[in-house]
Amino acid sequence: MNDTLTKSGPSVLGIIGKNLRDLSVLPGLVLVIVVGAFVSTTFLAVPNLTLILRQSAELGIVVIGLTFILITSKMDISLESTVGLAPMAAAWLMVSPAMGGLGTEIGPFWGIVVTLAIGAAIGLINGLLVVKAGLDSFIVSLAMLILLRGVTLGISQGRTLSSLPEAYIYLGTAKWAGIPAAIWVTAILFVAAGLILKYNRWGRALYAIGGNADAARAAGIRVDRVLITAFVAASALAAFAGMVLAGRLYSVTSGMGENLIFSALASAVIGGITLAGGKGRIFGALLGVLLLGVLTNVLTLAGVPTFWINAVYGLVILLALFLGRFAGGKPARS
Amino acid sequence: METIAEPGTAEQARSTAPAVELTGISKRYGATRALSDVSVSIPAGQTHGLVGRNGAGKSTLVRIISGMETADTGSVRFFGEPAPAASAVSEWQDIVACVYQRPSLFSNLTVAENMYISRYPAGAARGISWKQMNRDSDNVLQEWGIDVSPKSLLSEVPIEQRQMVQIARALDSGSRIILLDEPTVQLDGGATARLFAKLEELKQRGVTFVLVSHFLKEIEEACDGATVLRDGKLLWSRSASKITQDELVEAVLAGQEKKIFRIGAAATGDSTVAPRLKLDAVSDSKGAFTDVSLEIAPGELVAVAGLGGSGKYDLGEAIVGLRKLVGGSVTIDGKPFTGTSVFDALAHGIGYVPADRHADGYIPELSVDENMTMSIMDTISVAGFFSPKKRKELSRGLISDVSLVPPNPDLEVTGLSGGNQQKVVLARALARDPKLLVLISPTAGVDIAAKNTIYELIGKALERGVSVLLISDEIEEILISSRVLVMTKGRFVADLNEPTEEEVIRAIEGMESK
Repeated sequence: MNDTLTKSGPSVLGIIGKNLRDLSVLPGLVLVIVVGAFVSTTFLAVPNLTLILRQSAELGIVVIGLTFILITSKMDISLESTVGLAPMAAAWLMVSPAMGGLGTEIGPFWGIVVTLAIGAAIGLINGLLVVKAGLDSFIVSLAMLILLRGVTLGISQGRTLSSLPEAYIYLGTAKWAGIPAAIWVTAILFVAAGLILKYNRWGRALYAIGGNADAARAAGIRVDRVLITAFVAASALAAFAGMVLAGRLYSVTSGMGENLIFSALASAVIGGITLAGGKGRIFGALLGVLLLGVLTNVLTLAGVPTFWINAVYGLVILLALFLGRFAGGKPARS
Repeated sequence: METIAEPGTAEQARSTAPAVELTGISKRYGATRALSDVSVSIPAGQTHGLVGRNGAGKSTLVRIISGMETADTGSVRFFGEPAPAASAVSEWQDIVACVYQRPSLFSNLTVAENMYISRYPAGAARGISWKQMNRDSDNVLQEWGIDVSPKSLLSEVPIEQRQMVQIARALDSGSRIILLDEPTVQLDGGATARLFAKLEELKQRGVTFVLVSHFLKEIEEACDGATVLRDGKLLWSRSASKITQDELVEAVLAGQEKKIFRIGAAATGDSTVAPRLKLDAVSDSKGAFTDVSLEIAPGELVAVAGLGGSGKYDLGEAIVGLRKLVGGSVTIDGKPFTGTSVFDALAHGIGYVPADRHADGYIPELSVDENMTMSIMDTISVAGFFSPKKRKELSRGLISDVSLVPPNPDLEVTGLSGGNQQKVVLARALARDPKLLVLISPTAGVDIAAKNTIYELIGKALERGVSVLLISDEIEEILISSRVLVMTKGRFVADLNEPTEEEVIRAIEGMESK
């Protein structure tokens, strides 16, 4: 190899290609919006758009956490069960025995603390099992998904817990400047995640670990610690998403969060976060979330028969991946 | 340019024709001449050694003999007949088989499956007949006297036996010429002896072996002849008479009269200064090295040489905290160092360049500036957040320090040449102003210009009082140091002062010094 002859670095085309990868969702998103505008006159109305954003908030928050983990090339599908368990446990401790609670009737502040603490604890367990015990993150989180869902059912006895304290559901119900607080909060979280992934040591360490964990270790990055904190952050975010969802539903159901992880994974991957790790930006993941949110809305407005909605939904996800494959120049997987 | 065998004489020729006959082989890769005009003749039923330093052209020759590459010019003949066309891979493989350093086997499958993976015997309803496969493979293994059960999982079979499985597979598909590429690197003395005993036995039955090895002693003991390559040219090739280890050392050294390029003065032996690094009887938990003691003074360069598997790399990795130590102590400037990660090592002023830059050196997806500053992020961050501007400034300084080409902090490291990739890794090790540098093969696979820059940088660091521990496979690199320690089987066996190349090679090979 010759010192003066370097292989071409990222050329102008390469840089465009790289950004296209994130933006490859855009044509699809625009297309769905155009279709939506034709399908229904109410689609572009502000209340409907607000509804879409509000309904995407929980998915968005989960996707932020999932993105952290995917960038390190690990996996956590148990996030959806955390969305259900954390608020359920908090509600169980908060509401009166008559409403299905345990009887402790802790205040809403402690309810929020319990929610986030349970999320963090689940993340810690996942992280330790993956990092210290060396288990495969997919399988660990699969087991945790089932286990946590089971615990949720166990403590709730399958019931829905309602009459939650006002303060607990505040973020899920309040409006700031006429826009649901949940949308504001989600937007703030996305901005924060974007800054962390770009301008924070911990955020950059996620990329380094996903790119080459051995090299990251040899460069002095505390790989184990970063991985464990990524799992903790993701699960805490999922628990928070569960709390916001409880606000939207004014209750906690035992099936909350079910199947959410599939949409979360689809959003992230459509948005250019690769399962192999080391690549992708939070903005892409956000576009992925919006695409799925708009799509669900349009399918409903278009009057697609309920029993067929999932089939169309799946098909569009495939199309989006396909589109991303060609826009990005590389398979979204590698 | 293949010569065509005259019909009619082929049969006759076969009995006396050499197993392998290479005539005037040349091969270029871009601007590099890998082989020029190499002619070698290997008689059937012999074991032939292939010797030369790294980059002498051994692997290219192996690839040409095994049909993985086509020579630019020259001809290849097996048993007097022209080699099959380059496209006829399977035909070629029926004549010559290659047993690699890293066995190309499936450790999760059984011995029998490994032998028949590409040609499973069909059973009822076109399924796989395990019964027949086990029987067939048992027959083959017994025929060649290889003592392995066809039903055992390959992962449960000792390493030397795995190579025998590969050989058995080759023999079964008709190959009578077998190339062995560094077959003993992972083997201990007993296993090596067993492997060679087996080769000797197979040789008596007419199999021809070509043995590529760095262990000159093995070539002396196991080979009937040898070919020595140097810079892509044939130095000599003999097949009629026994070869001695002295001859081989001489041959490998030949033409090496050039002055040794040393950097850093020899240690002053000033005992009033505390050693920068002191190892006191350290042993590693996996037994890669035992009871190793070493002192390096401030500003001193010490090189560690040894064969593959001697434990020298493990020692370097242990010093930077990547390996668990089970005994002894490490002190830096008189203070004990008990760190268990590179993070801890950095905090104690140890900079580290890992052995394989592709595997452990850099993060391919990230830019030059990010790779270079990865170890000093804490110094430019407030509450974890850093200023990209400041990072770029810092990396521009580092880029000019190591003369990176092109001097662009935004490039992805994969876009750089090997030499410049290595400069990025070295820049990272230097970024934190270390007191001690642990460099493992810092110029491996690097061109001359980058090599000189890297040596210059090491020289400058020494002048600043940085101590350097240089661990390498390449003698040329080892010789930049005035003091050379030689490791064999996890222990230092020699401490040489300003040695010649020959002295180092002899110490590494465990030969008496002249």
